Amino acid sequence: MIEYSDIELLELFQQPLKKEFAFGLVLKKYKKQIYWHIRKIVISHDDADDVAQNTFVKIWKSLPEFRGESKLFTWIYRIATNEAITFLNQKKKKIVISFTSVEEYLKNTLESDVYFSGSEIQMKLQKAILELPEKQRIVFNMKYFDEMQYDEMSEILDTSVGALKASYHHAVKKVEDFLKNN
Amino acid sequence: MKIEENILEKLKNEGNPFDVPQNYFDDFEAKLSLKMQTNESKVTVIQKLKPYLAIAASFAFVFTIWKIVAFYNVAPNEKFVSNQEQISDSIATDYELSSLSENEIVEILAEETVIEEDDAEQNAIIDYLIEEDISFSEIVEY
Repeated sequence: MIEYSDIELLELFQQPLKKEFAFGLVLKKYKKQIYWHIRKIVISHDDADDVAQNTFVKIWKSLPEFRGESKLFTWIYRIATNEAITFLNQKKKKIVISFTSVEEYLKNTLESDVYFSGSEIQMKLQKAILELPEKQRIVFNMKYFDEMQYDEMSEILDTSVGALKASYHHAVKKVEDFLKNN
Repeated sequence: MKIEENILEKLKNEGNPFDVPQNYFDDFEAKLSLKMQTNESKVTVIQKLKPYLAIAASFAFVFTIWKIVAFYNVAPNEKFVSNQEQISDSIATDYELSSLSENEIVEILAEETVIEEDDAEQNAIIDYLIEEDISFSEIVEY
């Protein structure tokens, strides 16, 4: 199957009769990347599914207004990241009542996740990542697992490249310390 | 430090530790399409109801304004006087009844009956005068 470039997809989307077809291609191209990006932030499959679905609903609604000031890829990632962070913030508000932190909630979710088939050391790595502050955690995931470029991350997270490099450096250090001491 | 870096490198090569349910990505589009249809139908229902809700709201608004205007159109003194009369009548009646003995109340009620009887007598006289065609001047002369 032909893989369309982002520019081609946007051109297709501009044509009223091909709008849905173009969106279908956007979905095919990005659904897995977006799902895994969200999953690493929210941990649970069910939550990741909800957030991913909401992300694509938003993309469908906002795509007509997309002016191409940034790349389609970074724009989609930005929507997904914001949706995941909004989800965690809503979770935080609910969790306040039960006197636990969202980090604790995510750790419990990870330990009881039926869709986690990693080894013991992989579980330990995930727990180490959950110890990081939210923004640092997202930076670590994007760089370490997705091997994303700093300039792309900078567009998605609206943070300078320098700040992202420093954030990743600190995150690696903390993860290493956790793995060493646990 | 080098050992830990190696651990991170090694872990990277171990692949993704997370799974998804079977056929999850194959069914993703269908599930999303259903969600979007549900969202659209919710919006459509609200949009359909919007004009009716607007009409109902304007009727409620007009009715409220009409009620307010009607309330302020009654002269404030009239309202005050009639309310005061009602209240003082009620207080007076309650006070009088509470200060009377049972026998006295029975007597008052009997007197009221007498008054009613007097009224009946007067009515009978008037009927008689009408029947006999006796004018007021004839009564005065008599």
